[in-house]
Amino acid sequence: MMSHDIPPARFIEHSWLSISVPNAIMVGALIVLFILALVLPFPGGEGSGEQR
Amino acid sequence: MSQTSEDRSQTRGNWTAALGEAAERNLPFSKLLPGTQPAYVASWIYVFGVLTLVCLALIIATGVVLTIFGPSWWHTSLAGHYINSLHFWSVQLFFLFMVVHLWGKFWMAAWRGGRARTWITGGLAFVVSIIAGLTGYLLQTNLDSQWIAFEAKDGLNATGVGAVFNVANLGQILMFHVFLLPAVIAAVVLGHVLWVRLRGVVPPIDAAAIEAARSEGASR
Repeated sequence: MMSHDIPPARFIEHSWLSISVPNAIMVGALIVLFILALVLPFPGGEGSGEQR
Repeated sequence: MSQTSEDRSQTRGNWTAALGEAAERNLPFSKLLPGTQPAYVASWIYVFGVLTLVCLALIIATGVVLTIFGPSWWHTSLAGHYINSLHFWSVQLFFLFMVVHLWGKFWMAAWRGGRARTWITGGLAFVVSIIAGLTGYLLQTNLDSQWIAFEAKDGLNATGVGAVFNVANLGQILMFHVFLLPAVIAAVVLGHVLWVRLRGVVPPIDAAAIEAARSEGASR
């Protein structure tokens, strides 16, 4: 039998902002992933012109 | 392929021939399945669209298995739990990749160069996917899904959609989730991908300047 007594998430409250810690972690992870996608070099991405 | 005025007069009023000719003219196989891409595509930010498509394929494949065996199977058997989890996590990654894809395209103003339809179909796919995700949560057939349905119903009823989209009606939500919404998403995503192929992948805003600097450097 599955248990459903999962405790509610903690919330970050600041002025108008109210966000659960898991959601804040996900937003942070997305921003980090976005920045990494912009700055990390792509394998075989050197050189110019058309490539496979 | 060049077309004589006699050919054109023969296909006038014939929509199947006209459609075939337009497809042949605008979307030849060299454009539909290109062997090369411009140099600027070699960046991680250009990977997230296709990652989203991979997740969509996984969602559909696992969804088909869940549809065949049903809730009693996915709640009680090990294989059912596994496929159910694959379906769930494919959805999580689908949204994660789609959001990064959206951000990437937003900041490079991807609607440039006659790509407005690509941008609109992408936005539409995002919105319809959110509704599909909600209906998926409603179909867990457990306490969570009941709680979500009764939290969502008042908000949805306030907008007036309750008559045609009743989150407390399991049968209706099931049909939305396994047929109507996947059909809409498939059609919209197909249009999105075809328009990407038609117009080509959007270049970065400074692509022309980079290419010019490169060719100038190479010529020295």
